[in-house]
This record gives sequence, structure tokens and C-alpha cells, in this order.
Amino acid sequence: MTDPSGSGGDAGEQSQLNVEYILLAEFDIDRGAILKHQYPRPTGADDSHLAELMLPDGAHARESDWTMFFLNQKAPDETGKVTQEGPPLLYVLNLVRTKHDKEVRRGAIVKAMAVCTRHRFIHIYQAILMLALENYYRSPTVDTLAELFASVNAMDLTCMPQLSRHEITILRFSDDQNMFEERFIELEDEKKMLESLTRDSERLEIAKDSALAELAPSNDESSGTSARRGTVSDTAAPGRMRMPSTRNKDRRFFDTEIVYSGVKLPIRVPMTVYPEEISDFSLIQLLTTFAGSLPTPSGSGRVSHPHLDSSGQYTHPIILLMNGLLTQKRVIFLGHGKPAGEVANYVLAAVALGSGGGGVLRGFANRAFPYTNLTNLDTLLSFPGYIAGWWDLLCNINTGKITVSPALALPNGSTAGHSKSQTDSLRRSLDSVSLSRTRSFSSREGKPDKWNNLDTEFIPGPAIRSKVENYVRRFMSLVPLYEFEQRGTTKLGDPGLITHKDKSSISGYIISAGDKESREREISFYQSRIEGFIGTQAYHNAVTDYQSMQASSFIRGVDIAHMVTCLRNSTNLDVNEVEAIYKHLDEQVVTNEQVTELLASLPQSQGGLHPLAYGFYHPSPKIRYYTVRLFEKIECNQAGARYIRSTNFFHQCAFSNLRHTFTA
Amino acid sequence: MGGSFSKMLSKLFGNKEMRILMLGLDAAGKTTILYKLKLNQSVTTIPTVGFNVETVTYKNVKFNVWDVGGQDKIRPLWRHYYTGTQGLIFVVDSADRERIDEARTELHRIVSDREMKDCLLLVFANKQDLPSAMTPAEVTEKLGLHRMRDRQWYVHPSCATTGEGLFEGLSWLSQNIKTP
Repeated sequence: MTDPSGSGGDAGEQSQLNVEYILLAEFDIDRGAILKHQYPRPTGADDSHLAELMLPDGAHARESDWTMFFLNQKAPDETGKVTQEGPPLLYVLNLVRTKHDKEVRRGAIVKAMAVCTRHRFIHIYQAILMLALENYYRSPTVDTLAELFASVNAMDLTCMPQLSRHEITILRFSDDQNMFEERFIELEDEKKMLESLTRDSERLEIAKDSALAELAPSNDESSGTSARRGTVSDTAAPGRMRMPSTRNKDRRFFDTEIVYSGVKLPIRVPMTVYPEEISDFSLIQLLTTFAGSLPTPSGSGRVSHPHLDSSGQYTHPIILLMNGLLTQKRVIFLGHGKPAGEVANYVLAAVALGSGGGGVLRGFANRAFPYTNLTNLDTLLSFPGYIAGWWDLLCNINTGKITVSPALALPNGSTAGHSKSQTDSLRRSLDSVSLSRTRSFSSREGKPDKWNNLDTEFIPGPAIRSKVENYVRRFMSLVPLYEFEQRGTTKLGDPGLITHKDKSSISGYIISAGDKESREREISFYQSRIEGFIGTQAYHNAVTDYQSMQASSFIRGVDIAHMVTCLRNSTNLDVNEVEAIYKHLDEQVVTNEQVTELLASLPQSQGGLHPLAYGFYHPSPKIRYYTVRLFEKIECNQAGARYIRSTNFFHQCAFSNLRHTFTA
Repeated sequence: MGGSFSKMLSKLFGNKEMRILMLGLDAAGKTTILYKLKLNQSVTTIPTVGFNVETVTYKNVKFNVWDVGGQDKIRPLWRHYYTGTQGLIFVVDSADRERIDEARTELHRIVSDREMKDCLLLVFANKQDLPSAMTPAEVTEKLGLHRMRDRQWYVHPSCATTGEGLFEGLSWLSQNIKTP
């Protein structure tokens, strides 16, 4: 049979399957966990291991449960580095069901079905997995898997724009859900055009076919297919008619659908996912579960660990967890009696926490095991600092307590003795108040660990994620400074820029501009954690990422993020410094890509162009001039134009007035 | 690691706590025993995926009982539960004459593990209500228990659904637990 709709681009898309494998496991009442099917071919992972992961402990005790795990995780070599080669990390979403049935021997049938995909947003497959597993209970053959495989891979993502890293950041922190509207429309138009082309050529084909068919008796079949094709385009037609109204869509998601067994399942693919954000976990749940408790030192006289207890005995539990993640401690979440899906949520949230909202550091997912059991112990132990149990930090979901392992060794040459005496004296002085202290654990050493004020119930998810991101970003901005000071070299920053720090505050990496003292205080506060971070997988990845970013970044020679920070925070910049900043920006930000990069460091949730717009009101005409030029370039960028429209009325007036002044 | 764990436990709870591992072939009645002990009810069970764990207090001793699924494929996973075990309850379906040899092989494999070197062995000759059930003496012989020299063991007849014999077994465990 000829099927022109299927032949288009089949070969090229082989590598871009939505779902790579479908797995089916069942609990055989005589033999135990069995991997029954792998479709279209074996994944290469050990069968019994997969079966164990798909049939979680306690599956017999609940009607259904979800587990998540990853395939192709790479254990690091002796140097602690992880090879970037080999098959890509696959994310696996698994649904397990226990059906009680008095008719069968031993009263129940337990089956599990999983999809393995490169998509980090694996939760989009939840609904279809439920339907498919139900189908499999009815017809337990590999054909059921094949049908599912065909359906999910027929999901059309061709009109989903591929946003760059900077664009994702812009959209993520924007209130304007239509930020990249044009990109969607471009692709939609392109697709429409292609469709009409294929329709035309189809018509020709059909005309030719039917001309031939008049001669042949097998007319029925070909008219059948053409009729079906006709209905497909008919149902698609109203969608195209609605085009103008779709402009109010929420473009932070891409809407598509999966047709499975005659059921149309709407699918929303999130467009703003960061590299280490997997599934739709709740960071808030992680924070609220563990924020309330004091960390329990297991064993009465636990010595403060320099990597973990950044504020001594009273380190806030979430900071303790964050520190543990940054310094690659083995973190385990224990959820006795909880559904595996719920525990997985905590693990994935911890991945996002350590990686800075999913967007700053990389490598946490590679050592995360959202669901695991004892059978996996050997694999676990080959990963330094896995997040899942032999543990350094035990996070008990049932009690909300974080316990530091008494067996956790102090790092070589650590300052434990010193910090212990420090914290001891601190503790003595605080003993009287410690009983009533429940929430405010921060700031004793001058630097805010801001979690204590976090009233999570009132802060929406994205805001939390951006707080986490900022926290890790700041940490990461200190690492190269510290490294450079201690070792005279760093691979995470430009030594040339760092050495300039004392001469001119604008081109260095200084966090509080011009204030050497506060910077040093900050570094010493983070010092032991930075020591613990150096050499971790995330550290090595950060080095790689920094270098590739340097190579691919559109703005060279200046640290945009730093300049923005200067403009945003500093009241003590002198005229020359401000002028230098605007001049730099005007010189460096020229192309469309450069504007996008600039916008990414000015997230709308933090005021967007506001810090730059101050330049309109500066007494120096030069600065006003640079600002206007910069805004003119920003205006030519599609997202930039939206940024300008969303700045306040006065800035917009100032822009148009000054523009006329300068052009006149 | 296991040593420190059990030490920690005994420190925390004195010696009134006992870690029990309950093993045996599939469908021997492990889960039924566990919930009969825990709830004093005969529950209808389905095959255990992974494990169940419950605490049962009897005569001032807190028994932490780990009940692990018994199917062929998952028996190699039993070893992961050995660490810190003070008492092994091995459950035998006394009516299943066909698989009693298989049960013996598994039992000997378990007790030969280094981690299980010091633990007590209680065998429940379960399903005594069935007409064709082997007697405790027969089970003892078929399991080759007399050949176990350096171990304290005890075979007790039981019927999990009615609860007969279960607490007698726990009594034996609590009386013979070694005080560290």
C-alpha cells in the first residue's frame, strides 16, 4: 500500500523518537519480578534489574504507584569525571498496578508498564500510560506495546520551537506568556504550507491512482484510504480556521495531542524546562517537609561538618541539604510506607535544589535515583554522592527530619576543630534562646541564608525556583574568586577579569561592587563549602560548561551578569564607572543574539529593563545617549520589544522623548 | 556498618528490641503470619512485592519483623536484608512435600551466610490444619536441621490463619536472644 503521509521524513526522524522504549514487567506469582517485554528492542540494561525497578517494594499494598528511574547513568571514573560519550540519559516513567481478582491463584495480578524517553517532561506520558496498562491487562501481548509506541511517537512536536538557553530563561521569568509568539507562528505557517503542498501532491497522486484504478478491480481499498485522509484534513481544518484566536494561547506550553486507541489525549509540553528539571515535582513540598525541623545530629556529640554546617549547630535544614548536595554527599530520602511516586518527587526536587532550580549546575540527575531498592545497592555505591542508601544525609519524609551520618568523615585538613570551638561558644551563648528558636537560624555570620523568611505557602513555585537559582548562582560566582585567590588559577572564570578587581569594580566578578570587604566576608562564609564543591561532578561539568559557554556566547569580553548586578545594586558607583558600563553594553550588545543574551540576564520577574532604564535620567548626556542606543537595539528584538512595552510608562516616555532629541 | 547499626539500636532501646527476618518459599504463609501477629486477624494476602515490615510487641519485647517475598527470582535479594538480623523465622508449607527439598536448600544457603552466623533459627511448620501436613519432626528431618551443630534452632507447628503456635515461637525467640 502506498501511504504518502507516512513516508515523509521517516528516516531522518529515527533519532528523534519521542519515546525510545516501552517496557512491561509483571510479578509472576511463582517466580517473582519478570521483565516480560521490551519494545521495539532490548534497552541493554539488565532484565531483572529493570523488573525490580518497575515493581517497587510494597506494590502489593496499593492499587497503583508510579516510579521513575533513569537509564544510561554513567558512573564516574577514578578522577571523578563523568564521560560525556555514550548513549544519552533516558528518563523512565513507570506505572505499576495491582489488580485483585478472586478468580486467579493467590488473588492478584501485578503488572507494570514504562516509557523510556529523552524528554525530561516525562509527566506528559502519565495519562496514556494509564490507558495502555489497562489495555495490556485486557490483551497482554506485545501488540499492545507496539500500539502505544506508535501512538506516542506520532505525537507531533514539529511546531514546537526550539528555544535557546537564553530564551528559556527569558520566558521562564516573564509575565508575558506570549514572549516568543512569533516563533510558534513561524513554525505553524511553515507546517501549513508544507501540508498544503503535500495535499496538492496527494490530490495528484489520487487522481493518478483513480485513473489507474479504473482499470484495476481493487478500487475499494484505495478509495478507502483517500476517504480516511479526507477526514483527517477535515478535522484539522477548523484548527487552522481558529488561527487568529490561538494568539492568546499560553506560549509557556506547547499544546499537542496523542491519539491512542481512538482517544485524543491533550498534551501540554512545558517550554521553560531547565536541564536538571525532571518531571513535574514540587520543590515547595520538599522545602515545607524539611524546613520545619532542626537537623538531628545522630549521636550526641556530633562535630560540625565544615561542608554541611555552614552556620554551625543551627544551620537551617534546607541549607544543610543544599550544602550536602553542592558538596556531593550521599543523600537518601526515606519514605517508609509512602508510595514510590511520592518519594521520587522529593528526589527530583532535591536535584533541582542542588542544581540551582535546574539551571545553574549540571550532573545531579546523573547521580539521582528517584526510585531504588536494595537490589540496586551495588550500582548506587559506584556513584559518589548519589542522591537516593548508604548515606551521609538521611532525609526522613515521614518525620521531616534530616540526619547527618555519624560515620561521615571530615575532609582532610579541615578546619573542623576551629569551627567546632566557634560553634560551641556560639551555642553556649545561644543556649538560653535555642529552645524558643524555631525558624530563624541565619545571619549570625553576617550573610543571609534566606530560607528562614520563606513563607512557602505564599510564594508560587516559579518564584521559589528562582530563589534557589539565585542562591546557587551566587555561590557559583564566588567559586572562581576563591579558586583564584587560593590557587592562583581558575577554570570557571577569566583570571584577567578577576585580577582587575581592585582597579575597576565594573569589569570584575565582585558581587557587591567596589566593596572588597563584604566580598571577602562572603567568600570566607562559603569557603568550606566551596572546598567541598571543588572536584565534584557538578564542578567538572561547570568547568566544561563555562568553557563551551565562552566559546558559544555572543557577548565577549565582558561579564554581562556582573554589570547588571552592578547597575541593580550599587548606589556607590561613580559617574565614570556608570558611563563605562553603558559604553561597554552599547559596544558589546549589537546583534539580535546579543540582545537576547542581555535580556536573559534581566529577567522580568526581577524588574526586566528597569535597572538599565535608569540611564535615561542620568545627568550625563553621554550615558543618556548610550541608553537610548541600547534600547533601540533592544526594540528590534522581538522579545526585547515586549520587554520595553512592559516597562513602566515613564521609562517608555523617556525613551521616546530622548530618542527624538538625539535624532533631531 | 551492620554492627554499628545494631549497636545503635541496642543503645537506643536497651535489649527489648529484636530484629527478625522472616523468609521461606513463596506461598508458605509469611505475610499471613505477620499480620496475624500484628493485627490478630486472618487477612487475605496476595504475593508480596518486595517486603513488609511491622513491629509486634510480645512479652515486653519489640519484634521488628521483616517479611520478604519468596519467589524464585527474588530469593537472591534476601541477602540484602541479613545485616543486623538477630532471629530468622523460616516458614515452611508443611503440606508442600514437593518443594520441601527446595526449602532445605534455601534454608542452608541463608544460614551459611557470614552475616547470619549468630542468629537464632525458628522454623514454623506452617499449615498444620491441612490434612496432608508433615509433622514438625518430619519437617525437622527433611530440612536437615540435626546437621546444624553450631546454631540454636527450634521447630514449632503453626497454623497462620488461626494463629496457633505463633506466639509460642516468639516466646522461644525472646528467651534465647543473646544479650550483647
